[in-house]
Amino acid sequence: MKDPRFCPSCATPLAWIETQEDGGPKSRLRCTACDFTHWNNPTPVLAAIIEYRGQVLLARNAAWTHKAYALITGFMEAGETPQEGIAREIKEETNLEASELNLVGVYDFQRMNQVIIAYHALADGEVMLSPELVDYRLYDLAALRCWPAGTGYALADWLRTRGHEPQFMEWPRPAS
Amino acid sequence: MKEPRFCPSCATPLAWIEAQEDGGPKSRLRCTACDFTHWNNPTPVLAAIIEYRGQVLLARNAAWAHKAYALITGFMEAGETPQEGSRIPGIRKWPQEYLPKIFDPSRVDQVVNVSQDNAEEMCRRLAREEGIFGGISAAGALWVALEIAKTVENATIVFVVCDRGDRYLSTGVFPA
Repeated sequence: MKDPRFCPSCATPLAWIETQEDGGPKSRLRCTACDFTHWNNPTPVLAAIIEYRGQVLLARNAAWTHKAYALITGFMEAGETPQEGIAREIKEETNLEASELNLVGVYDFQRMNQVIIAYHALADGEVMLSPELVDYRLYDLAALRCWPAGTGYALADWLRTRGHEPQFMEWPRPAS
Repeated sequence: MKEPRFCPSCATPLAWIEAQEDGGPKSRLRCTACDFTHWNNPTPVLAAIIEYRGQVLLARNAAWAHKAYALITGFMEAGETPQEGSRIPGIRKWPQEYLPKIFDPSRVDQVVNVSQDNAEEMCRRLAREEGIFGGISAAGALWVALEIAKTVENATIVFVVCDRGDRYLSTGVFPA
């Protein structure tokens, strides 16, 4: 998200102001008229390694120019548990029902100021993709290639728990 | 956090507006003048069960009226992994206004965090094996370059030795 310019409480322009915090002096966008601080905490993103009939389902996002297939992800919403949120995303994006969810780990994705909460999901049903996905593929565990960023590290950690030493791919290049 | 009243991008008052989202129609606080949406995602909090010399350490917050002892918690900040921020000079988080003008975050594919121990060990190896007397952040960059080298083939990998080693003699990274 781009930096906010105005205070959401009183509409005063924000300014970079250093104040003393628990961790020491810290410069943040703060309101000069009220006590609002733009903390800029990472946004939680839920991700699922979907195990579907013995294979792993990866999907391709309609907005991507490169040919990467990736985990199902979505922003965590207010008023839901991480488990409810990822089950909702799996249903919305693939139409599958998750019968089992296991936390794989929590990963940073600093470029987008996100924190990824990754689950392994055992899921079944008939695959129907949402409009934001254009294609999916099913992979045998041994054939999976991980990518060197947030959700790719989650996939690598999960593969290790299933006895597969993860193989990493080169970073996919945008189709120019 | 209380609800925002004004758009942080253009200071227009926000309104509850229903829009079609991937998951169906959804009412949120949205700007009537620009494309800002208040998503209201949960804020990530990190918590630690501290095991200290075989026991678990709980602490009592100064702000609490009740006598509960609890886990150590804190808000996750932008620019850090869930595990730990960096202590390495030069790689520490920089306040926004100190970032050099040439830094364009959209060109960064990936941020890799390096532990103090790995960077210091690489600093000594750089001096011992290559005769290059560099700083700890230079060695951190080398550590990342070698990690990337494990995942790719036929690649040209560049890292920058961005500081000399003599400034770090007092840190104890180079024992006698």
